[in-house]
Amino acid sequence: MNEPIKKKLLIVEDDEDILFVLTDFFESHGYKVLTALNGLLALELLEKNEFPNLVLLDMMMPIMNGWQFRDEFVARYDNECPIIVMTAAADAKKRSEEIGAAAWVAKPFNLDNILKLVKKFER
Amino acid sequence: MTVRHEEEITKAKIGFGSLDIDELNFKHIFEKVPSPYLILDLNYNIVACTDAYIGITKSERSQILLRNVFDVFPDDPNDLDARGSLNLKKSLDRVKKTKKTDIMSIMKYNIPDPDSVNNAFLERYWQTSNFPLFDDAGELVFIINYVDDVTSFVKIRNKANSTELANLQLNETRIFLESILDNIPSIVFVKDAKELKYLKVNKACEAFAGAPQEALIGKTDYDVFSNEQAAVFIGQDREVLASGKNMDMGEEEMDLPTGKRIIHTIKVPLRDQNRNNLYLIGISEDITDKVELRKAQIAQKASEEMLKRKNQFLDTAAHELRTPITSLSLLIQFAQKKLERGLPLKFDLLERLKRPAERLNRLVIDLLDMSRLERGQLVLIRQKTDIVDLITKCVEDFRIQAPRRKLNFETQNREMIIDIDPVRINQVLSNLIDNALKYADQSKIDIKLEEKVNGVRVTVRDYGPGIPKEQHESIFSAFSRGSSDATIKASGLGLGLSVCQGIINLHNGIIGLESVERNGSAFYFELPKTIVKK
Repeated sequence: MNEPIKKKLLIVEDDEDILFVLTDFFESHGYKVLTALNGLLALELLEKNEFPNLVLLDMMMPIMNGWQFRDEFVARYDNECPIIVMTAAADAKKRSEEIGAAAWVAKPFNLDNILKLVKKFER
Repeated sequence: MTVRHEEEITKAKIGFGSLDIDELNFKHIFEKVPSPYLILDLNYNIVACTDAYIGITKSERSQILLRNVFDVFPDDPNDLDARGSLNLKKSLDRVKKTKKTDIMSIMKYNIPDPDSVNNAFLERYWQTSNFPLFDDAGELVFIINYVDDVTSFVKIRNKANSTELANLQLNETRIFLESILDNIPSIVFVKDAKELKYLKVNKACEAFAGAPQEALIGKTDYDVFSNEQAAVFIGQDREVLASGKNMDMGEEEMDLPTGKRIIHTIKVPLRDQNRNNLYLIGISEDITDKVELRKAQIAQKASEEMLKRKNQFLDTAAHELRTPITSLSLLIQFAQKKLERGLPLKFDLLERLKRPAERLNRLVIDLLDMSRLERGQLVLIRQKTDIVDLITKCVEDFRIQAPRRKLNFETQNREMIIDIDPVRINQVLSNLIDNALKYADQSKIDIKLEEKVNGVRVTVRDYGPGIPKEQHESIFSAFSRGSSDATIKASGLGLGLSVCQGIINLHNGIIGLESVERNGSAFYFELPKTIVKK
């Protein structure tokens, strides 16, 4: 079998329902999906797995939030892996700029839209 | 007998010139003339003088006759302004030149004091006239010098002048002070120290009181203000006078016919050298406008702060609401996509839909509670409640909801009745347990009830990641005050803890957090056993 190499997504999100839907959705579109409920778990996951082609990142999470995760992520890997911010905050744009994200989506969002964004920015 | 008359003088002159009459007899007559005369030759040597002259110049005839008048009466060496001899010489010179009588203005010409051992001089002022004396040929031969001692007159005049000058200066000073007093914007009043009646008020005071000077002078505060207010002012006055020191009365409210005013007064006692009180001076400033401006500024700042908080609250509330809405929205999209692709929907999807819906409901309730708390409209319905029973039931509910989590309830008491709102306390406890389940994933949770001296303490302890120390304070006010970027970034705990704090505060209790980072959190609340009814 000559299956094409699957693109890998890391989704960091503390809401289990959102994780559940996003995982099912992106897997049905041929992605390999890694999930973490907070930044700390995401970093642990990265130590054991291959590097993702893109990160979907929630900002407000317990234990380690999006800002802290992004700082650690950059410090540890010095990788230009694009990040797309998913946020329910009123100032979504400002937040994505703060962490130098490639793009942002405001919660609640449309699944087809986020798929377009992922395809646009993935490496 | 007089020699002043020119004709007679002329006859005398003839007598002197020819010496053919009884010289001694004539000289004797001249010397007895009761006015002070001196006869000088043209070199100003003293030829003759009357007894009266000797008397007023305190000299002796034998010592002055045939001597130069300026040798006999030199200028006072101690008087640097002495011009007596010079003035006299000028006058005599004029007589010689013009051959006419010369009347001098009053001049100072001190004389040697014969009683003095150290050549002192006596202060003297003179009214002097010099007359020419001609011989038969019409030639000037002698000059008659008439002097009158006007010292006492001059002294009286000088004294009068200086008093007048002093009065004049005093008057100028008074005008000066009054013009300052009337033109400064501060209110100034002067009362007498004894009866505390108004003696003087300035224009600013008239304007402030809305009454002219005349209506205030001679009145006391009892005539001007209400009895109550007057008693206060008079009391202050007496205190100031007794202390002998300036006193700052601070800000005071005053009722005036023109309305309420706020003044700031400093009272000053004025005493004489013997420390007797003379006057009480009051200096006041009408600070009504200033105070109102200050109040307006404070109110504006508070309303700006309120607006800022409100906006932050709305932002955070919107954020909290969007999260479960996102879950609902995504779950519905998920179902749609499955149906589009002809795939079956599993039963657990419906179960999943319940959770965000529950959360939305919870948030709306919290928002309402929060709003009621902020407006003071959240009312407790207290009743005697067994707190042991309340906690037991609450923990039981959570065990059913989260069957895989380990929840322990530990207490020494079998029953503990306290006066609380059981529904609200259950809400607080549920919130704390819910947070522990959510944020301390997989950790066991210990709930503990302890009896304290005056109350009970309930602790909900987890063994999760804990909460950083710097967030301990803001965590309870995440919505009402905090809402700073740091709080939003850090907690995400929502309204729950703010509402908990509000409820515990209403019970006169305390709520807090003991947490060690990476070693779990222990949220606790304490409730008093006996509730003091207010």
